[in-house]
Amino acid sequence: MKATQVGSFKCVILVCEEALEQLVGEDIIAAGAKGYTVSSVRGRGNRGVRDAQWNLSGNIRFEILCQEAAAWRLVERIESKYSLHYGLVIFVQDVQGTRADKY
Amino acid sequence: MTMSIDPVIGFFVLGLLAGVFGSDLKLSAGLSDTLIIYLLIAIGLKGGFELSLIPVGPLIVPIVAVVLLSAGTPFLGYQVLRRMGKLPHPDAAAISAHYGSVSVVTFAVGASFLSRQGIPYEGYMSVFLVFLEFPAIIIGVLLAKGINRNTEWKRLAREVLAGKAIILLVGALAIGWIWGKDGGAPLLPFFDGMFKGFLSLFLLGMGLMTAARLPDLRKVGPFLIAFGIFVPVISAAGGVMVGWMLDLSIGGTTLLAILYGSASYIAAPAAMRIAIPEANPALSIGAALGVTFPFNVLVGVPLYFEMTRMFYRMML
Repeated sequence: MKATQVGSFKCVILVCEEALEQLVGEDIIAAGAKGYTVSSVRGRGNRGVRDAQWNLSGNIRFEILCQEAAAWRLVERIESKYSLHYGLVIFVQDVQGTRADKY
Repeated sequence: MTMSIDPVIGFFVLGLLAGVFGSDLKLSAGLSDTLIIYLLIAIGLKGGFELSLIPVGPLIVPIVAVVLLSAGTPFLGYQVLRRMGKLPHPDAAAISAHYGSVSVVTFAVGASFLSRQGIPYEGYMSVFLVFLEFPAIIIGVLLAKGINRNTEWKRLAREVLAGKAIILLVGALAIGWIWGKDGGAPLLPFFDGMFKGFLSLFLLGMGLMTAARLPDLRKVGPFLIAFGIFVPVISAAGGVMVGWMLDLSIGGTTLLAILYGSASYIAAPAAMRIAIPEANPALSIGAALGVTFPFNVLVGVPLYFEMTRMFYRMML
């Protein structure tokens, strides 16, 4: 059996207001990532409870796998565009996986 | 003794109480979405069926008049918020946009109220609903930014014009108009016969939602609470006069007053969050959903009806 190639890359996690889905989606691609996964989430932060009980009171969570350069480009782009007026959490993790060239 | 209040209002109060007492009752987001889609289609279809019975040409002037005069609400609201409320510029603009736009569910409650009272109204009122939905949102952005190159008008236009409210209202209106009442007859048991049942379910959810917004009222403050009651009443009075000028029936004018007096909490918040990010959404949604919606549903609808009746008697 051929040994699988394991590579390292970054996973950017971004939690923000539901209203931003389309805008942020475009920024992610513009920053050089090739794709992302979005899910609906709930939670609480300094902007109060985000209970997803009403349109716009929910949050979404993006997971973006990409190379290191794209990851930091993305963080900078998102922070500068949205962190002033929108609820936003963003951080970067190191991850390992196969098919690293895919990201 | 028969209860004079529409039973659908009972479900709103039930939801409100359930929320206040911390019940685990909850309408899933999927159900709320389904119900709003149902209500939008039902209202659009009803308007389309009525439209198929009359010539459309004579409606153009009333529509233009209703839309132009509806701009009064956001301009009045903006001045009141800036001068009397001393609110920051972006907040005043965003809140005015919410109050200038209309609430589909308040309209539905009004239609339900009229049918219960046996008061007829022009079926094409939902055409006005469509045209009152978005101009105020554009006025709100103009108030906030002026003609600014940085405003992404294309994105905003898509957000508003391709939003589900406009797509479904216009689409169902067109379907009702093309097929007519006879062609569309198979749809009536579902979209007309079951209307009050679905409206009750939606109002139950709205009651819960309103209860969840009540803590926001503390942030909103006494000024915005007063604003959320008085500005709708003044706008509704304007609506009564516009309806009278256009020679609408008492029922039609009542619905126009309800439209002028209602505040949007579906189309406007989504558009404002993107168009005016500096504005605090807790203020506008707190006022529109926490104050004006319950006020209109419980007090405003019968009040605007009485205002219309009195005005028409005076003008005889």
